[in-house]
Amino acid sequence: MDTPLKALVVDESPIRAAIIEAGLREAGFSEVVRLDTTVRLIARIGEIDPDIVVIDLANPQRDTLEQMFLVSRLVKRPITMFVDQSDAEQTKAAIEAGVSAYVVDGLRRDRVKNIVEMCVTRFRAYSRLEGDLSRAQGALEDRKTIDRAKALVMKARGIDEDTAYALLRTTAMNKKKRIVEIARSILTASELLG
Amino acid sequence: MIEVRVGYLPLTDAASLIVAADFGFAEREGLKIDLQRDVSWANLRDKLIVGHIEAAHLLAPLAIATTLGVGQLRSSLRAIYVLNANGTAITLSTALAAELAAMRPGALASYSETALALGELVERRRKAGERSLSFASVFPFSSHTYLLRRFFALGGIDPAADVEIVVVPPPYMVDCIDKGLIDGFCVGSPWNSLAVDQGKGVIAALGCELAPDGVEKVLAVPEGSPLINGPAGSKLLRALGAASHYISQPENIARVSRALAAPERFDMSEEVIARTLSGDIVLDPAGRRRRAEGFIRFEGRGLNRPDPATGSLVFGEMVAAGQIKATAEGAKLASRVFTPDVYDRAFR
Repeated sequence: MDTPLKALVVDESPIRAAIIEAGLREAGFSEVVRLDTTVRLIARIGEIDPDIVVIDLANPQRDTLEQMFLVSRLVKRPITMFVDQSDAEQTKAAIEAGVSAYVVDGLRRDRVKNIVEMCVTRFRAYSRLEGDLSRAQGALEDRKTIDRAKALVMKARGIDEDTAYALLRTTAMNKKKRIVEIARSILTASELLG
Repeated sequence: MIEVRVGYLPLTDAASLIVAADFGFAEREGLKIDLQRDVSWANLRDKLIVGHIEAAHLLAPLAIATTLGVGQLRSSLRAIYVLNANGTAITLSTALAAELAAMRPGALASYSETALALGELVERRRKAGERSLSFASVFPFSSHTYLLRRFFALGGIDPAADVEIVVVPPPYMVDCIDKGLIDGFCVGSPWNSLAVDQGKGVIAALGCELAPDGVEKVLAVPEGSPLINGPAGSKLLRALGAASHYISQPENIARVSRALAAPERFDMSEEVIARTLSGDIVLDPAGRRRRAEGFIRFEGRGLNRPDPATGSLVFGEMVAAGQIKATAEGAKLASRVFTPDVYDRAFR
């Protein structure tokens, strides 16, 4: 039976941190601590005494971690950044995915390799999810813009909804633009002209 | 058009990279500089090593530490251009500054007076059994760490025993002062001035006073980089040379500050950047000022040419700080990090 392992996840995104936490628990970490407001990192790290630290590369506090692992009396066991010498691609993949892991000396390398792999996969999945979400939000915004422009056209010309939409669409086609771009210019013009 | 990806942190001393990219100096050399803003020195180091970027705005001592394998990751780096000298300052929390001024009139009149007063306060606190004061640097291997140590030495303070030196990223410095986690810090421009403007700090010492002509940031590349031997390196350095000269003309400060302040660059106040570029430093929230010629310097006196002697001197600072053992091999490797070859080819 292995001794219980403790992990620290430093991530400003609560959703992504939760996904990483779940992965770490599946990998056998009985205690996972999440820190998002990391100003207290200096004080907390000694109390937590983690076996592994997973940090989001968008977090500037990575430099604080590096110093602590180097000199601080608060860190009880030597911890180093995980780099698999036999697999340079994994380090590259981790950096591109935006995650870095620091592990306590003596933790089994193959085990750590799997954990880092899990983090990379989950960080990538999260960015995809975020991309989808922002595209979906963009589509929703476009829809609202078109509806508002349509209402203005209906009022100005005294035409019904379908005719107004058809007018927007033909104008867009003639000008080789997207309907939302035409809609935006109508809204801008209406703001200018009151 | 050759494209070079360069990583940087939002600090005044990245100015020549931004000016070279945005003011047409790179283009004139047939070069496109793709600038990538980052958030930590560790990120820049790693991205440089794995090839995510081809060159980086880097702390001179970090290029040496990485080459020697102290700290995390070991990989040979080369400094092919010195971006600037100085630009840093030591700031005390307003509470600590007030305590020193109350203890000794004139304690804030000069950096040496401040250091002496601080030494006295440290001694008093030790006798009273109070917690030791804590100061932040931006990275273990940085001029900031070594400047703090010099400042402490002037006050008879032993940095290893009497105070604590921690690392805090520049954007978090003021927050850490507010929460009482640190009592002062050493950071690059414009972060000291930002702390003063927010009413949270008093600038106690300028880097240019503690270490005149102190080499600050370098342009670092991996040892085997094509920028060392290929034509792109010369082009890049000539673009940087022209940019360094442009920034150094007082009449260009307004334009340069505006470019650095842009949302896609630093996303900061233009006025505060202009103040650091011109060396017109506001020292405390009450508005006390000091004009410091050469507060930050981008060219002149052979600054931009990497001098192997600088590498040896930085190695000495690392040894003095207890970060590495003194060895002839280490000193030799450190001096080799500062390689003037590319510079000499570009400007011959």
